Amino acid sequence: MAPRWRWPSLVPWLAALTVALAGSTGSARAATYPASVYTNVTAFDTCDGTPDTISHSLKVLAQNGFVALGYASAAYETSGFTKAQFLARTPADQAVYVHSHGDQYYAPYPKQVQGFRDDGGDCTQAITYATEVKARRTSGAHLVLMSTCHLAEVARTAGQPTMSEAYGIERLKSTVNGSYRGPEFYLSYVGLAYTADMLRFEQKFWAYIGQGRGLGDAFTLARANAGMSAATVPDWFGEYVYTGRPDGSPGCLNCQ
Amino acid sequence: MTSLCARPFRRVPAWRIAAAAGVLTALSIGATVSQASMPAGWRAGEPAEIPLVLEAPARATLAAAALDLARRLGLPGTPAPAVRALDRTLGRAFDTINLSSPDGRLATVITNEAATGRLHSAVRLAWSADLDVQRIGSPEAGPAARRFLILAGLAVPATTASTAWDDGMDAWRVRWARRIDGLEAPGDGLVVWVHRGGQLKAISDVETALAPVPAAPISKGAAAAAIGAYLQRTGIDRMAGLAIEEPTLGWAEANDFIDSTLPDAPAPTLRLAWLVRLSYVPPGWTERHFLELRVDAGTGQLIGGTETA
Repeated sequence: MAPRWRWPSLVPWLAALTVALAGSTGSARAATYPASVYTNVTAFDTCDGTPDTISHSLKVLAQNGFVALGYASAAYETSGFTKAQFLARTPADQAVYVHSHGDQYYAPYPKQVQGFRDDGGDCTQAITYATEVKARRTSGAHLVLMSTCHLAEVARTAGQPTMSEAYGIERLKSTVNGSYRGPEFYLSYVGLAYTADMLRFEQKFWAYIGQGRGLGDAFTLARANAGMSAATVPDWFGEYVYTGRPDGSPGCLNCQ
Repeated sequence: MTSLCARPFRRVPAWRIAAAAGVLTALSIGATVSQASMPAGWRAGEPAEIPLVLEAPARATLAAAALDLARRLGLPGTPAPAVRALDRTLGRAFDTINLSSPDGRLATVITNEAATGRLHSAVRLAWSADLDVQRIGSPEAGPAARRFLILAGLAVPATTASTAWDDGMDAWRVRWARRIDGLEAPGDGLVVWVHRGGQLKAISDVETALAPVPAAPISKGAAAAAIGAYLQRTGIDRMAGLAIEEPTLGWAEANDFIDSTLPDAPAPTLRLAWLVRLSYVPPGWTERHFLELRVDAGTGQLIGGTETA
């Protein structure tokens, strides 16, 4: 295996860092990098008959995390989180967070395509498919978190894009193949994911990012320290040492 | 196969482990952590950690103990002095020791419970090509994990471990579920991740404090009745395809799943509870939705739960 960090791979980092240092103010930069946070509250509250606070808590964590990284982030829930709203923002978003039901839905049977349900304020909840996201993207996103079941899995129907691929993030890890993958990171779950575990894991993930850790380190430390049940399994793709910052700079790799 | 990894495991003298444990226990006696002084439970948006005072000698001693542990486990890095913080999401304090490589990068992070000195986690962050050399598979991961526990001075559980490849950690995950008198605590457990090269990726030892066992636990039938009343009150009993599994006794923490006025952080202790798993298809959906509800075995009250996303 090739080393994870090679000199040629520093070139884009240094170029990005130069741009960042010579660039405009933080707020102006944030406006350049739109991000969206979507949380399906109604599904976990009205529709399933149980009260829910986790959807709101996950939204707060993601929204604060995006803003701290330098994105101009908007947040949508209940009737504000519709498929139309999501798709309208899809072409421009550089960072995306979705907490909802996710699956590989029949579209139609027997073809299965990865997707998630919107909120809309009722239990009808339209599905947004990876194919619809891919059709609206002309470039890759930096940071995508699908806080759902199943959206870190391989496509069950050959030839269909996964949700990470819809955002231009291949199902590859820089730690495994050793090559620099650029400023991109995708996180989701394999199989069924339980919301109490998701809150534990994502709280730790954002906390380690807040301490200056790269996204790969944040994932690893959160996995080891969150105290999740065995049933919930997160996974990631992209660049291990990427910080998640929208300007693509390496940021604080050596922070203690 | 003759060797699980390039460097054979060293046998650790018992005195060395005992000495390290003694140091950590002595430090914990002087800990400034007090349950009474802890703020109320964490809610999203609030600080999740509160730094606590740890005197310089203790910080240095903990760093030295962490270095000793790291060397036994083959983890790289030179330690910085320990820092102590109250983790409001878990309801207890931890000492964290960061070990860095010569170029200043974070190589290993070791975390101990402040009150007991008990190892909470040891995590390798530094990467090297040797980690990716295929030397072990699923059959070898379990024995390798047990050796790392012994090297860390941790007891190897007598129960059977489950082994699976963990793509997110890029390592084999060997997990022992925590059992108390034969009853499972689903959220707790001992997990060892082992690189495909046979080296340790991480150890996670989550052992939440237990509330006292109730003097007269309620029956399974009483638990089922409490669940039935809840399902009727919430309308879940009218959901399509409702399937309810038999209640099983286990240990679980209370959380805000039932009472949404509670903090986001779960309670810091586990309670003996009847755990009930159920599934149904909410109106307008095509997929089944899975819930786990918890009934306190002492009071018969619903104390929490979780659901699938």
